[in-house]
Amino acid sequence: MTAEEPSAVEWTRRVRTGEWSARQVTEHFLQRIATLNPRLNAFVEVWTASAMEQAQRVDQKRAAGQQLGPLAGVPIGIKDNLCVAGQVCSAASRMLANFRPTYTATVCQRLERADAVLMGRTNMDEFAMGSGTEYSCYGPTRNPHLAETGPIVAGPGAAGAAVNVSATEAGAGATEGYSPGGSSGGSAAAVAAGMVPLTLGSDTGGSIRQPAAFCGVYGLKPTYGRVSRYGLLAFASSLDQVGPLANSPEDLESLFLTIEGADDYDATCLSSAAIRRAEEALGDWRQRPLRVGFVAEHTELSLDPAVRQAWEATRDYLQSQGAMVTRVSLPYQTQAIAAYYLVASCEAASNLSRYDGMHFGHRANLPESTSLEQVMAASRGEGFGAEVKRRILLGTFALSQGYADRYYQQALRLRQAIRQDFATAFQSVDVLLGPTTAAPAFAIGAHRQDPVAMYLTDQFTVSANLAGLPAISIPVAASGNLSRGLPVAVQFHAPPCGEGLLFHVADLLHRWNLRHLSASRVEGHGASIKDSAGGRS
Amino acid sequence: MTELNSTSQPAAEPEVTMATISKLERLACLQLAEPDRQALVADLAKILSDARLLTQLDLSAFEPATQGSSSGNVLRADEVAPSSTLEQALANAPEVSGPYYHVPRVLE
Repeated sequence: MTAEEPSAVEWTRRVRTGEWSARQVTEHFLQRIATLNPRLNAFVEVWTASAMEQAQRVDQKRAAGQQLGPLAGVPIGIKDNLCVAGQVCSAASRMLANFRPTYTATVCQRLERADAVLMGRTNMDEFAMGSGTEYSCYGPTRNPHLAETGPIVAGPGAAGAAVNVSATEAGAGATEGYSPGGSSGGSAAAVAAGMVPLTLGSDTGGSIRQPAAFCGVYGLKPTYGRVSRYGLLAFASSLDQVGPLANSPEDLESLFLTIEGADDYDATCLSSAAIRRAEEALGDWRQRPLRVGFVAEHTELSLDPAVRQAWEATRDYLQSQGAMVTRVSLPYQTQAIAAYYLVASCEAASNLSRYDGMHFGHRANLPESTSLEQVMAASRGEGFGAEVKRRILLGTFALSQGYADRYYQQALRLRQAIRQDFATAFQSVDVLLGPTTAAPAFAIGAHRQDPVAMYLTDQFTVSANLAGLPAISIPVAASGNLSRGLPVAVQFHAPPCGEGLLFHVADLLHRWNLRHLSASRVEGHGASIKDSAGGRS
Repeated sequence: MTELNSTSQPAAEPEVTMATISKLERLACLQLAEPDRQALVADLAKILSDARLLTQLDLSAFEPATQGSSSGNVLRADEVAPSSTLEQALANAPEVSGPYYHVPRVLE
């Protein structure tokens, strides 16, 4: 988040007017990726050839006087769990290291139709299970903030070739510095470092918002059913959503509007009529002061001083701008994290049963006489990493005879209670304000020995997924020196299809942020690795 | 903060042992290495312990919410349309025999 970086909207304006060709824009960002990726490991593969072809098509359309799409010439990074026909899509797993889908995800089709340039795959936690982008077969991604002094990553990506997994699985990758969060850590780091103006991520329990918060960018988890999941490798189907990451609310909204909407190939996608009805139910919020709910339960939790200050400063700022702030109670939130990990793991255990090494994916190399079941079990044992195995076993346990009522059904009942909490709160407020995370980014490896500590980093984000609500993470520049040079953020929830409300709030706070950034630049604060990457703008 | 109701007789915590892990490996069709088994005994016990408060809540007033939203599925028209070709379907197979997937022996 900087004041001077050209936005995606500005890049596409330059392409439309001919100030820059799409080819020049693409080359500019390929160069930035080549410079920064060895240190950050945000991209696991760069699609140089196809990106240049897409850029050339945009230039040809312009030269022929044809109408250009809304993201014409804008380079975009794609999380490694979204399918693009013919390109490897691995979910950062050995299981799918050589998997090339034969079809393209709806969201990526829409980007191509919008004349965007798909630049490559971004790093992630394996099958989106993680909160630090450390559980990746390509090695960890490093947060661009405070990354200047870390070692060069002996990893993949910058050269543009497909990744050799065996070269990275032994622990290559960033081992010092701060985590970018996860699971969409590659997408967040890439945007934060200016390697691309926009990226797509997926959010099952906070996997867009938490890395957006750690990296100081904007991240949106849309309403459940607002964006197609056709072509997204499933983790937990009742929770997964695809969403955008960007450096400004305007760019975030631009990408969201390109990918959202009904899709014949995803039965869980809301119809256009259902979206319209939900938006009408929000009332005419543009004509009245914003009503902001301040969640009472959050005040009792242990928060890093920088996060608490950012959260309270945001509340005070909105109040100074005419918003009406009231305290609301969400009593069942306190147990949301346990419910989330049970529901998500149960669904993951079911979804990931498809990876058996028979039709696609890794197959263990065993003697011909080995039974089918032994080959399947060995293939899964070799193909999946530690965190994926942990969650499959947890989900299997919580669904097993004698425990399903105690764990899975109880988690589903709490999910209903959380939904009712939100519905009650939204009778009196437009949006709910709270922290995105309890603290700024943690050091890479800090939670490696304690999976529960890693799970707790999602404590403020999982409720939106359980309730199917839209939620946004907004960086807050006003935390001063308390954050020790790392970004902090706040989160807003809205009722179903309330993305417009969230963009409105983000826009208000963005202008506030820019004023703070201008002031801190004068004082010499706020450097991240992208400030040293240079480049023409 | 609103006090949440707890059930009066919380059931005993399940014990996670190596036998539990072995059973789960079989159910999940997932073969673990020996060091992983030992680590998972401790990990699962800790995760389940952290879910203890959830299991003790009285949530009988709430119906289980299995879906991501209360909207039903939206189905497209049931019409024949082009799908994957045989070549595409086999493109990612670990092993093929002519136009078929080649898999380990299923029947003795």
